[in-house]
This record gives sequence, structure tokens and C-alpha cells, in this order.
Amino acid sequence: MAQKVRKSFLIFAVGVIILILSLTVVKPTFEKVLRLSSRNKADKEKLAQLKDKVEKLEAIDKDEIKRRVKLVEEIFPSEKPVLNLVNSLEQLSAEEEVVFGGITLEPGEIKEDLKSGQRREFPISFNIEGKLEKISSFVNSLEKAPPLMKIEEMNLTIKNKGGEGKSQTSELLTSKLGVRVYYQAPPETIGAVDQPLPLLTKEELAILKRLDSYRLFTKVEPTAPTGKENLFSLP
Amino acid sequence: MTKDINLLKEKVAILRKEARKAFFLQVGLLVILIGYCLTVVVLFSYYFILKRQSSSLEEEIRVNTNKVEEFQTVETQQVYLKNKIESLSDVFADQKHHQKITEAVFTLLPEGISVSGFNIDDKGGVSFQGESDTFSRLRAFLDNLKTTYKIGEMKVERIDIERIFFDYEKGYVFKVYLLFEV
Repeated sequence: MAQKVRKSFLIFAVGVIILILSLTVVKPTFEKVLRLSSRNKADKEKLAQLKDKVEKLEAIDKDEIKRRVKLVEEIFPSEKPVLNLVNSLEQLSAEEEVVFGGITLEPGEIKEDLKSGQRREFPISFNIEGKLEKISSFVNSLEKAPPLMKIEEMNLTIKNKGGEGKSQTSELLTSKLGVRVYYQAPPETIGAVDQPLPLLTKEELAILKRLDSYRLFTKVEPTAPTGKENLFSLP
Repeated sequence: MTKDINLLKEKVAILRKEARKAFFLQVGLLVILIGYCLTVVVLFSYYFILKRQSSSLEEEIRVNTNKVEEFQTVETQQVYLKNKIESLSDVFADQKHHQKITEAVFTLLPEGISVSGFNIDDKGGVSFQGESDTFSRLRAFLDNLKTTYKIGEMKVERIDIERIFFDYEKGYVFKVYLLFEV
């Protein structure tokens, strides 16, 4: 009888020990293991992404990207390119030997609250005067001159009608062009550190190559002093 | 000849059987306890391995994050380029098309023709009004239109002369609609 009680007690004691240990030690540890395991999995993915990003960033030619940014900024500026637009049109018309004038700008607000990543545009119209071949060449060059422009309307009028006998070289034409000018504010954020680096696709690289063929002109920088003179400044 | 008489033989057998049962029970319980303890040890060891792995991963992430931050300027420039060029692609597609149409119309125009109301639509069509002070220039233009199926890369799909009339001030006035294949 005593042995039977001893046997039952042993089984009971082992059962209780296992139960207590399971509830107090094993279960919390097991939960921690599960949590850690899933966290490590996520960390491994994050680390792989970071390593990949570092690799890609290291592979980028710093001088080349700087040059590309400068080029893109000149062609597709972040702010309304009013001054440089007039400057470009003037220089292009001089190069193409056409007389430029009668410009009508509708730039709207100069200092506006630009939403990042949103393309903006404004219309302009202007007249050019010259021979047909020069006007044709100007029109061809216009869409390869900064800032980014798209011809939308065009009128071509013969200025000095000379009749049938008049040669093309002496025939002057006036052309009124309606053009849309584009610009876009830069993105405000570059995203999280572990976000993959946005790489340029083949098509986008082709666009960059196309930008290289743009005719760049000397930029106009406002040099006039602004504001009142500081009367209290030391000599 | 003596003969042993064991009166406790059966009892001894029962006691031995019970002792064996008790032994197996004890051994069984011990095995279960040891097995359980081993599982706990394995669980703890795995937990510590994971913990060490976690801290090593965290360290590596920190190092690589610092590296990425060192390249922040390059990353900003890359994001800037991507953002701007994405926007440029559809303007360029449109611009290229407009440019080709404008060039094509210039090729078609003979000397002495004035053009007004030149407009390009989304379908690849261009409409304009032309003026010519002499009939021969108008005819040269119409002949050009008649024989043109392709200008440069642009294939002409349809040519409509919408109207021709004579104005005493402007001369011969005509309205044309050209549809290019997109």
C-alpha cells in the first residue's frame, strides 16, 4: 500500500515539476524565441537591403551624378524659369539668325508653394522673324533648348509678299509660336534608410542621354543688390 | 536426501515483480525528467544563439546605416534624378511627336505660303490655315500634298483639304487637316 502511494506521489511530483517549469520558464522562453526569430528574419532582410544599397551607392560616380543633376536642373528647373527662359530664347534666336520679340509671358506667381514631385507648366507666346529655313531651324532647336518647352501653336505669315518671282532667300516670314514651359519642384524627402535606391531604367538613361544633346546657354544670375543699404555697417 | 520447502516463493515472486515495476517507473520518470531538462537546455541555448545573432545583426545594421548616411548627398541626387526623369519621360514622348509633326509641315510648305492656326491634336493630327497670293504656289503645295505619303519618319495617314477660297486681301486661302500615324 505504502509503495503504491509512493508511486503515485512520484508521478504526481514529476508532473507538477514539469507543469510548473513549463508555465514559468519554458513558455515565456519559447515565446521569446519565436519573437526573436521573426525579428532576426526581418533584420536579415533589412541588412541585405542596406548592404545592397551601400553597394549601389558606392558604384555611383559622384562627379557624373553631380553633372547630371546640374544638367537636369538647367533643363527641367525646380523653380519657374522666367529669367532663363527669356535669356535662352534671346540667345537661340541670335544663334539661329532670327529676330525675336513680342514675347508674352503668363508665368503667374513667381514665388509659389510648389508641391514636390508635381510637374508644373505655364504658357508663353512670342514672335520670330526671319527666312523660312531659319525659322524652321529655330523651331527644331527650340525643343532642344533649356528650359523644357513644347510647341503648341504656330502661325507663319509672309512679311514682305513679293509675288511669284521673289526668291526664298529674300522672303521674310513672321512666326508666332505658342509654347508651354515645364518645371518641377524637387522631392522633399529621400525616404527611409533601408528603402531601396531608385535606379534609372534603360529608358530613363536614354532620356538623360538625350538631355546631353541640349544646347546650353550662359545662365543669367541676378546681380543687382536687393534691399536697402545697411547704414550701420562698419567701413 | 533433503528437499527445500519454500513457503514464501509466491510472495517473493510478487514482491520481485513489484520491485521491477517500481524500478521501471523510477527509470521512466527519470528519463522523462532528463528529456524535459534537455529540451529546456536546448531551448535556452537556441534562445541565447538567437539573442547573440540579433545583437550581431543590429550592429551590422548600424554600421551599414551609417555607411548609407555617409552617401546621403549621392542618394539625394539619385532620388532627384529619378523623380525628375520620370516626369520628363511623358513630356518628351509628347514633345518628340509634336516636333516631328512641326518638322513635317515645314517640309511640306513651299515658299510663299503663310500659315495660321497651326494646331496639333492628341490623335496625331495637325490642322492649319494657309494663304498664298498666287495660284501657282497653292498648286505647288497641293501637288506636294498629293504625292506625300511619308515625311521623314512620319507616315501620313490622311490629308483633308477642308476648304479653298479666294479673298481679295489674303489671296488663296485654304484649310488643311493632316493626320499622321502615331
